[in-house]
Amino acid sequence: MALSSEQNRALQKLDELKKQRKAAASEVKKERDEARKTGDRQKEISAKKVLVQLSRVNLLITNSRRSILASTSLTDLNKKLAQATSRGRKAQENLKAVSASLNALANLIRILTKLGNIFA
Amino acid sequence: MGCTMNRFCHSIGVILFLNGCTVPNVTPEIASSVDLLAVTDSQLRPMLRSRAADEVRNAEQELILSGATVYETEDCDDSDEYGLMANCRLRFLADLDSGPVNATQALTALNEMEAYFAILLVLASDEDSNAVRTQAQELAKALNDAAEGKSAALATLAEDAGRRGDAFTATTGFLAGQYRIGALRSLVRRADPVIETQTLIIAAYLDLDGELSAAHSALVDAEEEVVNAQASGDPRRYSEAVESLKTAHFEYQTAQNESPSYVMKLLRQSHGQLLARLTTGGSAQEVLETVTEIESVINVLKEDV
Repeated sequence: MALSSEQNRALQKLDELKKQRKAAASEVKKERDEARKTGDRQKEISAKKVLVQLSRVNLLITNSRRSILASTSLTDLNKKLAQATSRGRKAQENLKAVSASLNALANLIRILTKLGNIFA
Repeated sequence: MGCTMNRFCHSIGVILFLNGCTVPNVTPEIASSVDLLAVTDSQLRPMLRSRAADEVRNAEQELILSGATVYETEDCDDSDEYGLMANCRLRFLADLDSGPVNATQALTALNEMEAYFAILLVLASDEDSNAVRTQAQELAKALNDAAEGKSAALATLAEDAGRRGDAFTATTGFLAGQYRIGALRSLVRRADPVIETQTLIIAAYLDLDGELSAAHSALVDAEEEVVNAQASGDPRRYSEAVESLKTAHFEYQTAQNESPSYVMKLLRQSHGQLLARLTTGGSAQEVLETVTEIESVINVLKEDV
């Protein structure tokens, strides 16, 4: 909706990259924790350097997503929401109309009853 | 056999009605969305107005530089007998609605959201379907009063009204309630993907070059410096890097909590909860109320069997 097929494809691609990044980060975090446990500081620092780069990848993905979304127009979506609101108003008007019809019918019957009494 | 069959059918009917006809009270969910929108509005509208004014000025300059028409007057050529032109206005010829999201479009989106939530609140309140119920009661009463009349036709109508008055009121009120909730469901279902994409686009537009993006970048830089400082073996550099990381993290959290994305996400979640509430069953009390109403409807049907 509102997004073009190209934009959607790009967003899907970014989502895939996001998953891959997360999986990779999860593995490196395990290595970092293991190195910390065994006291291997060099290995721990190496793992942390990789994690920083993976954080940078996340920043890039986030900003790319924003760029794609910010290149989209809101106009069609605004119109769609306005149409939905209009349907809601119509539904409310229908309920009011039913209520008014029942009221008119009750008044009519009251008048007919009075007339019935007069001409009886 | 017939009676057993009827009872079976009524039970099935009750189950079927319960699955789709419970009338949940969703006013709190809508009110929470309205509150969020008000927060968004107060935070964003002044900034969006200022940006939109800049957009208009820039568009004016672009048209002027290209020698194109910028404004045209409309309904400014026919004064009334008082010499007034009440509908006289300036039409801006730049098209700010097409092209990527801008402040003008974002302001329109906020206005549309406000109108949408306003009608949701009206539909969510029982006012109109209660009015139908009340009018149905009035109608039944009017028919009942007609029993005093001498007209044979009215007497027959009145007899029928006396026999079925309560059930008629219950049925009419029930149907009005179902119509109301059906309209609400359809409205929210239809609007949900729109709200989702609108909130994503507005958030991306406002945070792309905003403080959140800058704070995120600063956080990653600070993280990197901590690792490098730790690797360097220089305690002073490491100590400074740790302090910088703490500051960067605090600033990121602040930027995140104050970012338009944060409120947009909450708004989207709130609308999602509303949809879920409308499409899943209601509370035990609501189910009980529906059962009572359904029983009244079934009693009417029973009389006709």
